Amino acid sequence: MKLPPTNNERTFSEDEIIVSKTDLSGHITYANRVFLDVALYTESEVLGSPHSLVRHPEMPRSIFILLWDTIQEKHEIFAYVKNMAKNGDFYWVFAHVTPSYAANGEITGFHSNRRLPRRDAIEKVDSLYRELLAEENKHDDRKQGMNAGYDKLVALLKDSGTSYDEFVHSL
Amino acid sequence: MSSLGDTLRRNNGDGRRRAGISMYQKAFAKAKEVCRQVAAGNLEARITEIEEFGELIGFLDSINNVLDLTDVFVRESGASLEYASQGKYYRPFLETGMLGDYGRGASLINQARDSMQEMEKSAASARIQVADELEQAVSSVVGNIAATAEEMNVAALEMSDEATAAHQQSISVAGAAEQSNTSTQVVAASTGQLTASIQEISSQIASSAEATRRPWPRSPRRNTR
Repeated sequence: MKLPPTNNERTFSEDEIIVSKTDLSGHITYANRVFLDVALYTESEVLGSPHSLVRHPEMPRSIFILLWDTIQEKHEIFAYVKNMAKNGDFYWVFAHVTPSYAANGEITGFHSNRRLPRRDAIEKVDSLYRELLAEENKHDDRKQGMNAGYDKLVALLKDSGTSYDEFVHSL
Repeated sequence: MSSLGDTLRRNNGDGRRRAGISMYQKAFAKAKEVCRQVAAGNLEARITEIEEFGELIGFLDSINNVLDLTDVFVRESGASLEYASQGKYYRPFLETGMLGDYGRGASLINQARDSMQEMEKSAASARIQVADELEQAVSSVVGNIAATAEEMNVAALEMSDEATAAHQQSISVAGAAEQSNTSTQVVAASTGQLTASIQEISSQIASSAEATRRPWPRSPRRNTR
């Protein structure tokens, strides 16, 4: 039973990295101590749970399409993500997601390292995400909304003449 | 003489000791297995389901922490250098969270990336300089040929004038002069084409460094609407 989001922010040290691993379907197979401490879960609560466990309702879904599509293509992706702890508090991370490979080169799951983002980067991303979320919420149909948000993101990047990768590293 | 209570307490104590030893054995077996996998090159391995290990949780967390940091270092060094080798210098080794020797290694890799970028820039400008010099050299040769052709043309016309006096010879000489004029025009046109080709090559060289960026958009699932 998830609690409603609060306006309280949780944070972690710049020297710490939140680490988690999932299987191919996005279920958590490993979460490090920093993950558990920041998200306020125990290990047994997260193992086997979908990674959306820490998803915050204010995150535009279009960002997750981009993320998922990119790692499926065996590319790495960076994204600023607002996550939600078990008690409804939020925390911002700069997430790096990469596929994990078996010895034969097949993808066996996904790995995510999350670092403490800079304050000024969060502010820029927060306003972008509000814009994307507003676009997504204009549509009653979930999928249509998600695609509209994605199109908006693509259009914004096109206008600024930059790729997503360059944009995310420029913040 | 021990009472029944003492015996029970002693037995309970033995039971706890046995449980404690069993817990240590299990924890160390897990740790040993993960270390074996990591040593064999599987940096994905971690010790999980550690809640039951009480006072040993901190120890198991520490092993995972070391593995996580090593894993970060391997991923970051690989990815940042892979991008740099493709001419994408916007993706650094993220130094956040990299302490001590990890941080020094990260910083060295970023310096190497910067050097690669500098070398690429100076190599590109050297290529452009070579192309410019070649273009200049060819242009001057073309100029000389054009000037020579013009002189030949003038000479031919003069010959043509002189030939008018000697009527019998004039027709054949004027024909030769006409041919000579046409040949010089062909030479001038060919050299003009050569100059254009060289300009094209030099502009391609200049833009090659920019050609490695990934185009946007790239997502294949966008058409599922």
